[in-house]
Amino acid sequence: MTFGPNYSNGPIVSTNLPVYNVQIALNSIRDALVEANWELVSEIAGSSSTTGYELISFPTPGGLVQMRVSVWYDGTNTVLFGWPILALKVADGNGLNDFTAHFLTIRSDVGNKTVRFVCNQHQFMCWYDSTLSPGGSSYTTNFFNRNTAFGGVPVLFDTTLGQQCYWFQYGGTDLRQSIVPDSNTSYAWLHNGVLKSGLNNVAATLAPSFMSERGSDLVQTTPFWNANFAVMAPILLIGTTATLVALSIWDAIVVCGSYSGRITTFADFCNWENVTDGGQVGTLFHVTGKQLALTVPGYSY
Amino acid sequence: MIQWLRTNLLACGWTVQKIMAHARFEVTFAIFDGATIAVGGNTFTFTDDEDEPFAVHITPGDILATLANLGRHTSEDINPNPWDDYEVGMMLIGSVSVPYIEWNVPDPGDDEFYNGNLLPMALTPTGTVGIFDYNPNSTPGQGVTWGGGFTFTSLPHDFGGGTITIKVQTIDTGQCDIVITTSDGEGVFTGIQVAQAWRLLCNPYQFFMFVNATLTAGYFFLCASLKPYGQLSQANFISGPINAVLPSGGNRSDLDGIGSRYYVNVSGGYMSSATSTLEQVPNFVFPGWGAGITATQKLNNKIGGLNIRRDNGKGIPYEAFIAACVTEPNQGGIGDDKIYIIGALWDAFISSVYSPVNSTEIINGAAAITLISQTGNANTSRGALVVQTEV
Repeated sequence: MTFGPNYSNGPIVSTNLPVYNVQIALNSIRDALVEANWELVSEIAGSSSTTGYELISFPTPGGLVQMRVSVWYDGTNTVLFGWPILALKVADGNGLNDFTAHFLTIRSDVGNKTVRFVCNQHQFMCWYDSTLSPGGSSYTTNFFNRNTAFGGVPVLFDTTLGQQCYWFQYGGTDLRQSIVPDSNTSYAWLHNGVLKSGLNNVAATLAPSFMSERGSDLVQTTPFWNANFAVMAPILLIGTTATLVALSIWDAIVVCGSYSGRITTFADFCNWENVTDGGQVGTLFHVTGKQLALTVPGYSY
Repeated sequence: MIQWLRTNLLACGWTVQKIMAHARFEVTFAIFDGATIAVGGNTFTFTDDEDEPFAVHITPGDILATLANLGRHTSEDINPNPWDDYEVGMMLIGSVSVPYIEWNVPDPGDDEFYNGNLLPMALTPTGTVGIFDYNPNSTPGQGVTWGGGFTFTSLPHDFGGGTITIKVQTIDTGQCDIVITTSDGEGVFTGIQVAQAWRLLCNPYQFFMFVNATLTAGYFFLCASLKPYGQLSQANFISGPINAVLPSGGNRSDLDGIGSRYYVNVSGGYMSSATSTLEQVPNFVFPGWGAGITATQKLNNKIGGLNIRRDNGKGIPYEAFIAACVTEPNQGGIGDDKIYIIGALWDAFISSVYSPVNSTEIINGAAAITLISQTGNANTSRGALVVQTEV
């Protein structure tokens, strides 16, 4: 049985991205992904003479699965105040089965906004931390302030060559608030030739979400007491109620308790930081740095 | 059943100590010179120099006497009937209104056998004086033994050295019942339906007893010195039935059944009661979906009745954690309740895939059995407790 993290064994990039200017933000996203072993595929001519980028992830071990991410400014602004909103398109390794989201509002009016951006060679996570960004709570995620995007090629246990797979979500009470995002969260996933996208909590479809330890009787209150949270490998659920699939993601764990605020810690020779911050059951932690180059996946705490 | 437990738990490394039995007899009877009585394989002879037989009457409040093996008692030891020098195996003292005596079968030393009979199992004396058997003592000349049994202590584990100690004894209910009691007296389980075909699954730290064919109350018992979780060094857990006549608890109809009647000890004892709150009830723990308890929080728990399999089609094994609340919850809502993971069962896991109870599985090439399972719905997760049956 394997309960530990699935380490990507590649570079980890953890940075506060400057997103107070469109081109600076686009370049920073590009640089972060390239540093994490993503490959720049092409440039995208965007609105207002900006340049966007299309990148492809590093092949996963075993199945050699990749995804593409395109980020650019297409001229979309917020309805009020006219702040630019960056577009992000996810697609499979061939550039097909795509889904586009407007995920990141560019602002500098109350300070040069930054967002947390953590990525490895297979996935990326972007979220806003008001304690780390100039502008503080003025830039906190809401309908105007879009800050979040989470996605990547998951850990697949079926290593058949030639398959395409990715997961993605943004907006609403998304992964930043809860590992089981609410019905306002938008998502897309591709697996086994099936592409699903839309709003969370559609009846027969399971949007990307994670599991946490809880009692078999779900009517009981949880979480478990703060002194004794379980730690588990992140189980990412996608699929439909007819074909539910449990995948996983890279360089992450779920601590089965609730936290609020920014938590950083050190374990298993890695630096960790919480992604979810909503005080809900189950907190997703991501590796933000490694002390040693891990050659063999392992876990101890 | 007690003997069967003793044999198998000893083989798994548990330590065993005997518990002496009580015996009670109807004792108004006539004693003839030379009359014999065989008790526990020993034959005792009454000798007397009187010409006529006499009845030994018993009086309330008379002193209890212990069974003296090969001891000699003079007539001065007995009131009111002086006997001459004789050898007796016991003294029978009681009264018509309290027509029985009780005594503790003495400890013959380190040997738990007494002349070939395993103590403290029921004695079946025969002979010319009285008839003694397991039956209730409502008939003159008949007796009953009870309270005999053993104390079982699990092997100390390597995670803090915790153990669990229980007493398993017969009880005087007029039928063949047993009681299992924790060493601190907090847990008392009287509901095991003995007269069934029981199976036992045990290792040095835990054992399961169950009846294959029946999942309802009274036919399941779990006793474990759990592998303690986190900072704990000891976590003991028992789930079993109470009330031999109308058993409650001790069922394996679903995973929640372990929270019906239970005992938890994490540096302190807690036993279920009618007033225990929902937050305190033990649960099996495994990955579930949803941040809370309402349908909205669980997004209607769409996965409630679904098997959870990886993309390669295989199920996911989860550690067989047990969570419980030892202290009263603060009742302040999520985060304040003191329910927490106390430990894990050994040689077991929770499966994310439903399989029927009693079905066999293979874990790393070794046989296992699905002991408890549930199909799941909006309020319960789907899964099974699978326990290894061989290494």
